[in-house]
Amino acid sequence: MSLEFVRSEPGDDPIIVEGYFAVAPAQVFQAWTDPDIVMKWFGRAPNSLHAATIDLRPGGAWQFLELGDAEKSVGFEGEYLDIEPGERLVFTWSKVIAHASGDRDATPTSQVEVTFTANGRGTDVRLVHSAVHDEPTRRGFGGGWSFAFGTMSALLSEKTT
Amino acid sequence: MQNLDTTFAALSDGTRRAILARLVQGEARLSDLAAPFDMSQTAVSKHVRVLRDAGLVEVEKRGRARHCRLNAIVMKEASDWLTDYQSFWTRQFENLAQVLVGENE
Repeated sequence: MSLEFVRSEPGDDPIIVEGYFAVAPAQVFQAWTDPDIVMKWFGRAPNSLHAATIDLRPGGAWQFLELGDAEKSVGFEGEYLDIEPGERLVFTWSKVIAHASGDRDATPTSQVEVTFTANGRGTDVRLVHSAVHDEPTRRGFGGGWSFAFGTMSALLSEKTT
Repeated sequence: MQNLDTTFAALSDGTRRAILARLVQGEARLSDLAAPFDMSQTAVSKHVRVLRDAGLVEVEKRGRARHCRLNAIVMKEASDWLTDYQSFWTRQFENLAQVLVGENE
């Protein structure tokens, strides 16, 4: 996996990601705030999302589900804190598993700020994801308890291939 | 259904993670599990019990020996829960670029 968009050091808080997109800021902003377009790009792969809902107003909720079946739903959710169309979007962030039994596993809330700046005919997008609760999660499979996970992932992928 | 709190509590200890790392390689007898650690078999047994209660490890008694093996499903659930946000956001940006370019074509 290429990390060419990442600007922060592994494990740092916040995580800073920057990229250039060859369309106008308004169009990139729309891609972040129109659930039909979000469905096309957000998630493990294009068009992999199960559902997306967006209530685009300060205090409004958003939810992007990667999975939803009779047993549980898995996805990300939060609420919008600041909305400046075509310029800036700030929202809270939590990963949530909701079980059919009513139990919920949710990560502590972190915050995501996305800014859109015109650059020629395109847009520079800067994403700052701050206060992700623990270093191994920010870093990914790099340290702490992740050793066993790394080995485990390798084993599982061997088994499935 | 295992609660993630229980799973991560069980994973919060270095010895227990080392036991899991050993079990990733395959089933092991409890007595063999204890060998690499500078602690008694009783102490290792306690760690294995915590892992078993969390559903991460299954223990089966065969003859006089107790055999331990990993429960891959619970491990996978815990592993899935951890999101690597660096590669996560990189992937989102790649997907987004792909969709935006597609729309303009």
